[in-house]
Amino acid sequence: MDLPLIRIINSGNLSTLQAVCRFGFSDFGIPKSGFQDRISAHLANWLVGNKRFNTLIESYANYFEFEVINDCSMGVQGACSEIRINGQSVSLDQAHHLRVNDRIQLFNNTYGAILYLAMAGGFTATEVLGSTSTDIANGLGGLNGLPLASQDILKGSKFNMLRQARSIPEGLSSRGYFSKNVTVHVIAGPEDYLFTKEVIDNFYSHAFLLSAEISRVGYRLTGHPIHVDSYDIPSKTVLPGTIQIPPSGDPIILMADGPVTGGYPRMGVVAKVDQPILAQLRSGGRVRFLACLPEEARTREANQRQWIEELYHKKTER
Amino acid sequence: MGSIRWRYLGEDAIEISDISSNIHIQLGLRDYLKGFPKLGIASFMFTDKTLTLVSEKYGFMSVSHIIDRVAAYQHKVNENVRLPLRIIPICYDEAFALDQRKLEDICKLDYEEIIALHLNVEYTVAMFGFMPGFPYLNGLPLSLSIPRLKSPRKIIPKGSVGIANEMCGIYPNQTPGGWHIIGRSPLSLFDPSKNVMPLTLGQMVKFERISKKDFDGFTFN
Repeated sequence: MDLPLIRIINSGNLSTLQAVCRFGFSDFGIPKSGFQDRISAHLANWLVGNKRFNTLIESYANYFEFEVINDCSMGVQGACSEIRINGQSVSLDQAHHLRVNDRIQLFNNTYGAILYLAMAGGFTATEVLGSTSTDIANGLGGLNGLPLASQDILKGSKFNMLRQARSIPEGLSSRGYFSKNVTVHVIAGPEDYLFTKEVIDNFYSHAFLLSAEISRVGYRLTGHPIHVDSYDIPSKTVLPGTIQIPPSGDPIILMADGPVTGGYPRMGVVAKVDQPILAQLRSGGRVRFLACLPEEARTREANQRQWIEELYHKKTER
Repeated sequence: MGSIRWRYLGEDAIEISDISSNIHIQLGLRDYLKGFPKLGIASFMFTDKTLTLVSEKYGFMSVSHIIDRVAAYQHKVNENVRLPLRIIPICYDEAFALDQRKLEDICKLDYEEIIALHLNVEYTVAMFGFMPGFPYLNGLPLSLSIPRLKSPRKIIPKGSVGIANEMCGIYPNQTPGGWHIIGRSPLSLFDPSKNVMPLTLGQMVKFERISKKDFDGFTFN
């Protein structure tokens, strides 16, 4: 059965259990949820020999601390600049065996926002509508639908030790793509016809500032209000990555826990390949948009997916 | 037929415009398209007159094949699949009708007239959206068709029944929201622990008035 693995001492900001998306319930109004930066999440799971979608911790913490209740193996990826085990700094890009009563501290002073903490065998979480991913707004999945808090005890599989420690191959560490200024590709539409050519040119030629309004539902941008003539449109389908323009003119980009419908004009959708880059941007960072065709977006995403798949298929090495 | 208009919504989804807004025709089209698994459609979302299709894998192999199928679809309504009428209890007590005054002012009717209009029609579940289990109900009488609140309310209690534009909706949980609140239902509309959702797309709905006392005594099921 499940074993208690860790007790959280400092949960930091917006920490949740995440796994595969909640597919197939969008027509009942259920958000998808799941990893915001799937690359870092897959890498963290890979480090400890898990499947790509095993349940792990996603956290916007600058400081995360926990103590170990039962021996386990840990992999950390994403926005983490230092790992300390009982006060000793250890390598970032490899799996670590943890012992009972070990105290683990994770620090983030990178340009990235989100860290991923995986345990071999995965964490235990409530499965709701086919997924253990936490949807805070609707109280689904995770630990009773709630964000993680200090003193929470997380359980996991008893198969929680790795026989051999893995490390991320040179050049593949997920920290490589964190930056203060990012450019993301956008598939234009479907409501771009509501904007004048001048407004659209403006949208694609200015950098927007990421505001402090950041959540798993959406990121609000500021700095270049976008003008729309008419907001009088019925609610339409929105997906994670959809860029909505509300009456304030400050774009909102919907994230993993975003609603399934929205009533604001949709300027475009951030290409899937670049959604991890956007998710990792910190408030105060800048983002530029680059229009791209769906075919191009798919090719780039396929390349990204391919190297992750290749990594996962090299099971016997290391 | 080259007259069908569609756009990409990101690289993995397409949106087809000018679909009939009749939910029964929409569901007929959905079931028809489900008969062609090779099209690779993972999910169907109807919003107003728009159909959004999300691909199973990484983008559709052939959008033109999908468009051809949509064009070939004969608008047949299968009356056999009509679901039984669902009665939804509602209490119009002033403790629950948060926008009673505003509704009277905007509609230029007294509240009993507004209630009578609201009770008198059958609604159709046209879509779910905004939040889990929030039904958009078609069929609101035109004299109750009013715009959304100018600024959304920070807290709308669970079960509140709202109206906006030509729609009626029920908030399954507490949330911020922008619809005028006409009353409250004790019915639980979203319980993920049960696999059965109380309302289904295309289902007919009628409101039934209950007193404050009945509301308070109603056990959520």
